Amino acid sequence: MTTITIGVEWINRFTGGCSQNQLSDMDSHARGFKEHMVSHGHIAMFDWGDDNAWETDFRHPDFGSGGDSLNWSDNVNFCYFADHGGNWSSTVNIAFSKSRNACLSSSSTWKLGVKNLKWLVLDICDGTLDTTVPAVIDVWLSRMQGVHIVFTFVNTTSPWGADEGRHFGDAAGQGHALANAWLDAMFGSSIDNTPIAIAAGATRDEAINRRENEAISWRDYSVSNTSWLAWKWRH
Amino acid sequence: MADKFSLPKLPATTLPVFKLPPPHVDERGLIALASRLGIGADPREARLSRVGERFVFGRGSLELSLHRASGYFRLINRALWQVDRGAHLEIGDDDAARLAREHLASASLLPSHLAVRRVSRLNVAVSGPDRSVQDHRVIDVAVHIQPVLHELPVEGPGEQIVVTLDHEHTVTSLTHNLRAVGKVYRETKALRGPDDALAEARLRWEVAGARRIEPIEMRLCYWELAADFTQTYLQPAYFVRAILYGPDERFRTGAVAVIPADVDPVEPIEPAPRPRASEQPRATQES
Repeated sequence: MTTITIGVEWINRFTGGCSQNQLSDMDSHARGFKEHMVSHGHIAMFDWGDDNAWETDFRHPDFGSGGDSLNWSDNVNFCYFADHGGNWSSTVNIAFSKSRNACLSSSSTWKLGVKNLKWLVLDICDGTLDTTVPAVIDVWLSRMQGVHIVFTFVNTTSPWGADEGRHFGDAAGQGHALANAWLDAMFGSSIDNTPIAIAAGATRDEAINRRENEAISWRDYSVSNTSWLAWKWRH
Repeated sequence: MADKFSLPKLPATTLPVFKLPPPHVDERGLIALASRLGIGADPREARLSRVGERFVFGRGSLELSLHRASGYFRLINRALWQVDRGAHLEIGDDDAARLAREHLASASLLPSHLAVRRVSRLNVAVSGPDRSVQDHRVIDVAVHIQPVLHELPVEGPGEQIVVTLDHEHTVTSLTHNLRAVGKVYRETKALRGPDDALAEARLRWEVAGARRIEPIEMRLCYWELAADFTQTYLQPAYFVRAILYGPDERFRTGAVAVIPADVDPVEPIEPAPRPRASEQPRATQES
């Protein structure tokens, strides 16, 4: 069995000096994922919530002092981040409760997968604004530098249950295809949301193959360069 | 407020609160269900397992899971469900709903009164160096159905009934997240008005820091809990959706509130939130 490392970060309460409206269930989403992956034999490396989740955990050191992604988000195979997200000027932005070293992290400071990261969940709103090339390629192609698949949402979603992360972790931990597991765990007809999985590849066929078939056993099947993206969404 | 938003009509009379008998869920029930769904009755030819709070029956590529707390079940054909086989599915919502109804009727699972909440589609696309979308296709269609009781849809944080069809109109999954409904326990004491329920939802969101609230939709429904919760009564509730904006308007969030419709509900409409352990401060020199 392929064993992978996991890190989760989540924010419900914005009480550390940065101003956003409060969220609920982000801890349940991230920790539910982590706990179910651990129950399948995988290894949790960190679990940072509220004021303990930091911008520096995602910023690559090339983008200014304090960027520490190589020791945190990019030092694990699977990172699950649950929080507010915003999308403007072809960048995704995630919001933190405490400024260390900033209240927001912009995807323009990310180099996802240059070290160990294979899969990133952004359980946030506005991971993409739609499913067109500008919305997907312009935002994600240059940021995916070794990461295999990014899992997120198109436009807004409504975090309203405690179970979604658990269901995704359970299916992923059992070895099911990851993109399908994400879409299945996160889609809700009552809340009219649109989960999306975006897979990278050096070729068209590689990107499609990852989108359709990649499971955690693909950990060591590296993306040599990200020239293609293949995405899948339910709406 | 969103243009299409409107308050639901308040029924002229009170509504019944139903008792939900506890589900009888065990391996024997799972095998009986597998037999009823036509995937085999002989446990010697199947894989039986327990995964968390579910019992699972596997036979070939078919997987049937049954939740202990609720009796919810789901049948998936792992060889077909959500699998891209290079085809494109072209089907209208009405035709998909008709096929789903026919399948449910053939399995004796069609509710006597129902509403189609939504027809969703699983899409794929790919793009490369030329930055054009290639190969955008629909690979399945899912029909999301809600039973209707006393003219109110049954809603909950999972899907109620879902039938998924592939490009050959083969059923690739069947979700049946419904508890058996028992006798009427009592009538609601009095129904809250939708204005009052919306005000409560707004208050919850304002307390959580929302500066601007855009309601999207509001429905009066019967409320079912998720698969792994026990539930004793089926009660009416208002389901309210909104988009919230906080102090930084660049960030927006979808939000849901479930507000009891009865002025005196039999039990809380939602389970109590799990207690959260306090977070210990993270050391400043971590790496």
